[in-house]
Amino acid sequence: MLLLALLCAASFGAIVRVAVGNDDAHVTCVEHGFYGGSSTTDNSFFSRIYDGCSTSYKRCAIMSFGQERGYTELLSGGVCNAWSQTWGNYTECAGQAKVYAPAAFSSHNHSFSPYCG
Amino acid sequence: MRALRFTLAFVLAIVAGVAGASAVIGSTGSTIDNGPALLQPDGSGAVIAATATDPDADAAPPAPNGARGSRPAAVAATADSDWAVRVYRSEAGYTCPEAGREVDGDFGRVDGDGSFHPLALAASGQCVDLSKDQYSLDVDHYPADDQRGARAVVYGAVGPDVTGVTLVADGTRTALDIADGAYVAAIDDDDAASTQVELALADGTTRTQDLPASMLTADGARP
Repeated sequence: MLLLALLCAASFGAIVRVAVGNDDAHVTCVEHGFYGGSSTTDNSFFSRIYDGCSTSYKRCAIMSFGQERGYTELLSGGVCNAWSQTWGNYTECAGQAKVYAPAAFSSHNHSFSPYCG
Repeated sequence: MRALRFTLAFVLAIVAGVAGASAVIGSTGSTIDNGPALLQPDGSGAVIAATATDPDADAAPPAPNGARGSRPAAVAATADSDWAVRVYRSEAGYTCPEAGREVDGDFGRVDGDGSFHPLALAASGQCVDLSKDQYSLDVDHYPADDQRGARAVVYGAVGPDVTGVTLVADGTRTALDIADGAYVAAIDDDDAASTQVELALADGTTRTQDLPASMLTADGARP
């Protein structure tokens, strides 16, 4: 019972911490997703796929208002790490990370987590 | 008394679980200023390792006053600035190249209006462990945002086992400069599908990589 409580609490703590970090990431064989910059209003975010799972091809695109603004391809080992500032000055609130690594997952989007009113 | 002890232990377990998980996630969190050690610059700075001219940098002759088309001379000069690869070392010891533009020794981004925006060093490189991989091969795709077309910028970092990097496009071979362990080249985005990158290794073998066709549409972006 105590062990169960410890595990549940740890899961809750991890979820809360990730939400506070403004990231929208998960692991499907390899960690990937939308990663915030130093604040929620600095127009800086990342589309990122970490190395692993024999993902010899990775594609990380920067999306803004539903449109792809540019992307990075990695045709070797390493971290695919597209930075929004590479292509322009795009707000996090309308930003998304489009990620694709055929060895691990199909193309899908991750979005900025907090509410943007 | 026994029930009280159990309740106390139960509450402590919950507190320990939440605090422990928050601490672990927090220490590996991924933000630009507090990025993971894998990507975060180690504080030793960065170098603009290599540069490459834009394919159309000299396509249109400038007007007598230095202007190109309807653009002021200064704007045209910035729009024609070299592409560059900046390299930093991450806290985890990875080598992290990133592509951009070089203007008067600064690294940054050039927008469609010709304005230059310096980019501070951040956890923004395509970091690779060169003790495990011999090289990295990255391609950044830029939509067309001025009179020139879209661009594909080919770049990466190489370890000591790589002796040469050659771009092969429609039978034309172009040896790229390797400077500070990195290389860069800029091509028309439409040409990506007909371009290969050859990496010569010290053991006499060659790795050849076909570049995928660009995913950018004719208007420079994807819906």
